[in-house]
Amino acid sequence: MRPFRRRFAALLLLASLTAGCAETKAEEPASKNTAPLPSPNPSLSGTVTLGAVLPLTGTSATVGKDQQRGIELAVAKINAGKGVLGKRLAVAVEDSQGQTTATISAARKLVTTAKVPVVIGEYSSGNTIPLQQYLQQNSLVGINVGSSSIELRKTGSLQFSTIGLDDKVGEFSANTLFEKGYRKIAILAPNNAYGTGIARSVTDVFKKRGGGVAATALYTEGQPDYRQELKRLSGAGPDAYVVTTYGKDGATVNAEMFEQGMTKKPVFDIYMTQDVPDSDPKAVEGRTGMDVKSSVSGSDYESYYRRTYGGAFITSFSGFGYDAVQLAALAIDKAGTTDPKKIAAAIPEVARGYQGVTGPLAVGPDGQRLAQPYSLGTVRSGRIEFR
Amino acid sequence: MTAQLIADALVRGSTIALLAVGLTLVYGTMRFANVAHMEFATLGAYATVTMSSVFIVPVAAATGVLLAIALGLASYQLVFRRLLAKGETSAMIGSLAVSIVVQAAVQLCYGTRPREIPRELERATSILGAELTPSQIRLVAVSLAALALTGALLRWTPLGKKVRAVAADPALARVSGVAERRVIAAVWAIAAGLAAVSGIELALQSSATPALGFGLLLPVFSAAIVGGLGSVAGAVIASYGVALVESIALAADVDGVSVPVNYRPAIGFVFLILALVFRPQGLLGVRARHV
Repeated sequence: MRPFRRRFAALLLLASLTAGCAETKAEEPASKNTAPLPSPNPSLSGTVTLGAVLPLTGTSATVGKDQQRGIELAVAKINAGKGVLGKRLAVAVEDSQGQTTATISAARKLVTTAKVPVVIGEYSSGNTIPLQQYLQQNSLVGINVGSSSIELRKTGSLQFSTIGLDDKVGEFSANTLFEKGYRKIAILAPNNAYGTGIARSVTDVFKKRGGGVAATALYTEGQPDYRQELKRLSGAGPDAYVVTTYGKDGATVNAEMFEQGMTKKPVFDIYMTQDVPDSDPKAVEGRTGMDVKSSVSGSDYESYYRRTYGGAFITSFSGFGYDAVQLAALAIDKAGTTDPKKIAAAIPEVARGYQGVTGPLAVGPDGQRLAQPYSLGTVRSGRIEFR
Repeated sequence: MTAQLIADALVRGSTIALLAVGLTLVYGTMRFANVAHMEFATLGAYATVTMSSVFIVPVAAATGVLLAIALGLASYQLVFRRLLAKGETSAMIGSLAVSIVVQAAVQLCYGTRPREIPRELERATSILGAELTPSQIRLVAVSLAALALTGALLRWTPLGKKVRAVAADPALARVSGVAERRVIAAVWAIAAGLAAVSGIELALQSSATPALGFGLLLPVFSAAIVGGLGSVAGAVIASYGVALVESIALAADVDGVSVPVNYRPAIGFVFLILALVFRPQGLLGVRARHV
């Protein structure tokens, strides 16, 4: 090969990659802070560092970035006050990429390098369960801020959740659907611990009420299209579709439901802030659904968030991050140390009677939240309006 | 029901066929199964995503195809030519490594979050009893046109004759005055271009992801092998065959028992195993006689 050709070929490769990378950087959303975060209390000295593993990239990045905002807001609030053990609080955030291997690598980094006593995260149950198992093996506290699989009840005595699990979501959704008059539903959920848990709990309660489930399709995440799964649902002729999807996969599912004419029938979306913000507004217009109550406007937390980021909640998940940091800080203060076992012992005590931004945070003996308030919402003009 | 199955197979088969034809062309001329071939689909899709912020989608797509062709030629000159000098097995293993590197590079540049080419959502319409969206109809039309063009190029042009000559006997072609390296470069350009069209079509249906092309590895290899590696017509027929078998298997429902949709890649593989057992020379291949 002549040197000119070789150089030309190398140049082509380099130019293509540079063009792509340059374009990606331009796509990064600009920060829209409209008010600075509260200034830290100058009397605080030293730092207590916690860890967080969140999906900052990947299909669930929208939720991950919102969780990070909740953490950021809580840290600023705590540091503007009395801090933790008289020190500044910091949270080292690592990217899980929405993948299990990367989740564990990120946790390992936090455990070995930052030596944090508490790790907050992740979002997908398929990642949170192994994360909490890993933390339990290392005698560290884990606080789940986005996953709802009932398998999280079994991850260990040092593991907690600030979000209610699937049995509560399923019960609320199935009862709502039955009361709306639907008797035959078709369910679409991801084929993972979260999706199968939701599908099972909705099915159990809906059938107990006297309804029927015409079809259930569990989709594999990350596929280019989901038409086969959707055809299976539409072929069953249900009264309403029940969907629970997230991120860009959810956007693809929603677009294809619109294209196939499935949105002419009622669609009930479980955890609607997981997928509606990423979807084409035309595809989700008029859709009803449910989500956790932190997304309801009018609270102090909502104004704090709006003031800081210049807009309404993107998802319902920032509140869980906020509550997790507050809970961990209270527990560390109560324990008077950063010893993980003592923090874990203090969490149920401080959670009892503590009203978080997502509702009462009291946890049961399994470390899981006892009550989780939910809201019903409808998409109007591309935005979710909660009742 | 039957119309819908055929329509689904046409849509799915069209994307598989574009990739399978490229794969089989490269194999036919170089006896090398290029695992990294799928990455030209991914690169074409991402190039279109990038260009769509500057140009309208058809222009962005054309630029994406040209860029994928350029990358195809560059990767051949820089990597595969050298790997092939060490033998087909080394080249095949090397192509797997190239595939992984390309996916990692795409992920590094664009992130793991799926990226979209701007498009308008359109409702499906009923055509002869099958529901198809206008974008699916365009996908089938563009694929068939690209396949027909490739077929015509191979059948009726001097370049096509040279490609067939190199595929039949590279040494004889060389002594007959055929510039083998130019022919191989043309084959790489055609293969990368067809793959890019497939990737862009897929991204237009949903979005571009780093594993967009790699996700089609099994059905594409199934189609190319079942069609008889090196046979373009066989690859096209087998692509639509694999897609039809997938559609039928997924639509089948016996007393409420059906194949889960996430088993779709396995269907193509079963198709491949059956073909290897019952017709190892491929659909249009001729059984070799050993004396």
